[in-house]
Amino acid sequence: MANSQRVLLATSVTTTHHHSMAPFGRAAFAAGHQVRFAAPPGLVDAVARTGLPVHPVGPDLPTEVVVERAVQRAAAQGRPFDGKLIFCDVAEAMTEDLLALAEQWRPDVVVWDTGTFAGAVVAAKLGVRSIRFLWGADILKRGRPLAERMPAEFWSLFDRVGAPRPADSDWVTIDPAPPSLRLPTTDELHPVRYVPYGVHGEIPRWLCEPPPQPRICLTFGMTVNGQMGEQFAIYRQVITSLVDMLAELDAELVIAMPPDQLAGIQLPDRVRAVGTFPLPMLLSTCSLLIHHGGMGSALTAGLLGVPQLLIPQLPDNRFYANSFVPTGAVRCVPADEITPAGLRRDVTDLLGDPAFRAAADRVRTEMLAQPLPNTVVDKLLAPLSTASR
Amino acid sequence: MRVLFTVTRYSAHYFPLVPTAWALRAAGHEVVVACPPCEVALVGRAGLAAVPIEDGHDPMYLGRLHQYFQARQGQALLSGGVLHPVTGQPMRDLTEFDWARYKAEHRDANVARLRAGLDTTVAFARDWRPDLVVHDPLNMTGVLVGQVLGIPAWCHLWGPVGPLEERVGTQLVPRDHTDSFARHGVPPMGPELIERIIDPCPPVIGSGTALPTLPVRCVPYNGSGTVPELPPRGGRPRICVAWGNSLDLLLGPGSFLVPDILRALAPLPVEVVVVCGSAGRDRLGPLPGNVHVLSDLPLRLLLPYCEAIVYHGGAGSGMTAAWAGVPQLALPFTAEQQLTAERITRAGSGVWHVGYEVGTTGIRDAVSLLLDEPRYQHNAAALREEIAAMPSPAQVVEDLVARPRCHEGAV
Repeated sequence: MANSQRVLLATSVTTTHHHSMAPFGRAAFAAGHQVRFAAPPGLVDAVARTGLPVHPVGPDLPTEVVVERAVQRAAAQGRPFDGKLIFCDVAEAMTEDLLALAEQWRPDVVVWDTGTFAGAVVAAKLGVRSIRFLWGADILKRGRPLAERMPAEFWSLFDRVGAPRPADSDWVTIDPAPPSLRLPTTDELHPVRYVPYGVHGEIPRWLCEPPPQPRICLTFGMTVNGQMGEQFAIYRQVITSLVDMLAELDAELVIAMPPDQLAGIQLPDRVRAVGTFPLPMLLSTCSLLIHHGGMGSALTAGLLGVPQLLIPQLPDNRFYANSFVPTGAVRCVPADEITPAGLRRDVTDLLGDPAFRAAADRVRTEMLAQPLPNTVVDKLLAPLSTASR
Repeated sequence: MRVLFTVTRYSAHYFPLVPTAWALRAAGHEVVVACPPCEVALVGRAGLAAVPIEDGHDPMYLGRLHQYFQARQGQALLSGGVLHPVTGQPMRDLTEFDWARYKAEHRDANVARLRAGLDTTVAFARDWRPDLVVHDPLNMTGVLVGQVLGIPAWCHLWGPVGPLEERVGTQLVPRDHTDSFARHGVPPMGPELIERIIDPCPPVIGSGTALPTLPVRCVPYNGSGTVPELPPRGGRPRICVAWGNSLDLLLGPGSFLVPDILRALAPLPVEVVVVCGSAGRDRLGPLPGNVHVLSDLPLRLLLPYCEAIVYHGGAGSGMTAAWAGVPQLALPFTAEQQLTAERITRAGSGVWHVGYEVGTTGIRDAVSLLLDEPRYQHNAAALREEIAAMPSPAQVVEDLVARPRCHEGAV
């Protein structure tokens, strides 16, 4: 109401990009602020699952369309493919609606996930606070200044609506990753404790009991799960190889991915296929997480102190996976380099060598030491002090 | 720290607990909601982890049973008959339900089912080892878990009705007909086992319970979803008519007052936004141009833009109106709704009339009063400020988790 801030959370592109900022949004709500999401219509259902209200804005741009456009644009201009062009495309389509919404609802602050540039444009145009929310390691700036990182299309998003162009010095960024993943930055950086998003759904009783053998969890994340076609055939091979070596490893395997993607794979007794599943509770019983390098999976394992084997294929997953390597808590093998023998060696090492567990515990300790969402909300959104009432 | 929420079916019973759960999670604690299987989807939509193991009596069944017994003593609320306690269908006369026979035939099965639900939740809690429990006032499982595990159990109120009321029909704390507390070796269930309250009411509208109380600001969560385009105001006051579906399930179609309310409002120069379930919408027929119907809209998104609300006396609607500073006309039917209405309007922020007695003229006069007398607006704004001055859910988390024992491994 009169004393609370209006917080507009902007997200786009895919069904998972709002995950890292959702706990911040809920914390702001629980602190008495007014909080709303804005997202393209196709994402509204997914975003509404945060429990927060959602404004549909802009048209839906299918991922394959924007990816193809970015590929073609890069080819036409003779420059390498740049994933940021995808975000620029989506932002361009989204800006008008988001601006209209913001002019009507008048947010005090716009928080945008690092791939939703329309949030930055609208905040700049209206002169309200702009806060960027990272998914994990800063894939956008990668430790470099904006001028070096951002394509012309990014700047023209601001020019087109007459908004001032952003400068490195005035970017405010919330970062849920452990500090050891942090790249050099001139942003006003606010670390926040990562709170896992994916805890929806039922929790089976067997999760409450400690597993008799070391438990390995395998997931290829929410984004990859949705598109696991031909391109991801290698992941099927990983599943088959793992299943084959379980008895020898004396371990059990829990596969968290949609059952239809396991069609045709024989699963012995030691394997549980649990479908899409709340990862945090599952991981608290696991000795190892094997995954595709998505930031949600990686940070959840980090928070729970679980060593990881990262098998990235997509460029962004490679970036995230590599960002975790210096922690010593993971091993990273690009998908096109994985072999059954290598997989067996890596899994054996990760389960057997206490150095990985110790490093994973350090990551956990580091993450637990970050300020909580409640604290960051109070810091960034003026607390409702008695004096201001 | 691990916090187990145990909740009763129907979202109105646990939506008030959601911001507290969010605040706990944002403070780094683990939260799991034990709920009846039918609530898993809605709990998930609130972004919370659900364990579908809790399975108490359907509170609507208990409510219908209460209405049935009242009717047998010649004290039916509505002249149109009562609902069958089990099927929820209207009965032509009271002999259609034979309580003695129903009990003889179904009691054992019902007790077995209730016991199984309680035992499953206790077993889950033993495994998961929560540090504290938060439960809604209708929920007995949370009390049992607290007793069995020796951990604090907090009763999270919805609004002005407390756990220790005396008036007939306002005692929310359930009774244990299954001998489960004794079976688990703890004192028998009763109001005296409610030891701690989380209370969203400022003192002026609260129950005034003497129990240890953690006041928490009402931050109304009433569901998620798409933000609607609000219909234009046309320069006239906007009246929200909010009608939940609980009365339908409790008292039947005779309690659906929305058509009467619309007739009452028709001569007034106002815009009307009706918020009701889709079933209610189908019953409204053709509507005049100044009446708009929105289905399943979270009230908190609408009420800040309204000049008054007319509603069925539910605590969720009433508290959301109080939070928004909107003058209210409550039309309660049940004793619990009436007590809610009495207290929530105590601050002079609204009026209430018994729903089945008020009549069209009474509704029109009451709404005119709310719009014409500035004191209602003034008092509603004062109540809003009083609520805003309470500590937010985020601010009470520390007090909530301060006392219980700590245990390792919490996220």
